[in-house]
Amino acid sequence: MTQAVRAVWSEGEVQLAISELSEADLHRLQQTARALARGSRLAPRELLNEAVWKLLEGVRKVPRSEKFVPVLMGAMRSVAWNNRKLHDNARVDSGDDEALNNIGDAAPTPEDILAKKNLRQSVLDLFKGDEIAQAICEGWFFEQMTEKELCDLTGLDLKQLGTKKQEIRRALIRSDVGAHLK
Amino acid sequence: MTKTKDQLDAENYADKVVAEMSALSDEEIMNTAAEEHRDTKTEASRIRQALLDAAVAHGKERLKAAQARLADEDAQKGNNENVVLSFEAKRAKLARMIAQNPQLTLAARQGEAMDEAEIDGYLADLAELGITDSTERDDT
Repeated sequence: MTQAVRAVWSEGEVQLAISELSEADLHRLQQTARALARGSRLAPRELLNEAVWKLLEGVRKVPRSEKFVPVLMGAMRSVAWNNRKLHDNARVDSGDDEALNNIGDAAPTPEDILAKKNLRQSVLDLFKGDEIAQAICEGWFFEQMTEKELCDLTGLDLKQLGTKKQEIRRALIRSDVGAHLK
Repeated sequence: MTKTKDQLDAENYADKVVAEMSALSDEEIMNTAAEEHRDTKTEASRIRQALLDAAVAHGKERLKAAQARLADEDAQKGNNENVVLSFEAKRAKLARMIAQNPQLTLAARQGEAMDEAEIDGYLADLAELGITDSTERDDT
């Protein structure tokens, strides 16, 4: 089996790759974790940890020739997605008698509240009162619109759109405690 | 399985986040970091340490799992070694050992005439002397 197709990264390889990350790489990973954690029950740090574990367990079949940062970002994406799917299914299955009988037993946690709110709403709520930002979020993240379509939708030119997208990105990676739950 | 609208939204959002964050220049990333952290270097070290801690924690878990597996295998091996042999199997074992060790002349002379208790005692003596059935060793 060649180096390029081996699926599991050894601990040594992962530790070496981590130690070689630049300052910008590390901040890029943290900022991505914050944006991806939105709407999941995992905090950004948990998402990063889980991604490292996934890689070491070989759950993600990743050629060793790939660069570490995109690999870890892909692993985080997969962890966040699976976490959300898991809780979506739990939400659908929670209509059993026992669950119904337990309603009102305990105060809902922030995670419980989040689980009832979909991701689209969670993102749009961040920009309450800013209809342009909300329209861009809808088109950009959820409707797969092109930049030209976003400009047509909002009446912004490309430069203004770029500035607005930057504002949105920064709001999504805000570091407040529990920001991913808002 | 058909994806729900929420799941499609989540998938599109995650794809877009990864694509956008990958496309940003290092300078843009560092500018954003500088808005949040007075000392981006210290924060970067903290993130690096957290990632290394995660890798080390995984290693410890794997080691623990490997130790548990070994302990399991040892326990199973122990059980195999304590398997109770039938009289015929004991006789066959003794015959094999005599064939492998021509110096066991007494056993060779008396083997056929020994009862089960005598064979047990003889096999125990041989084990104490470090003489074992080499075919059993080969099996493990």
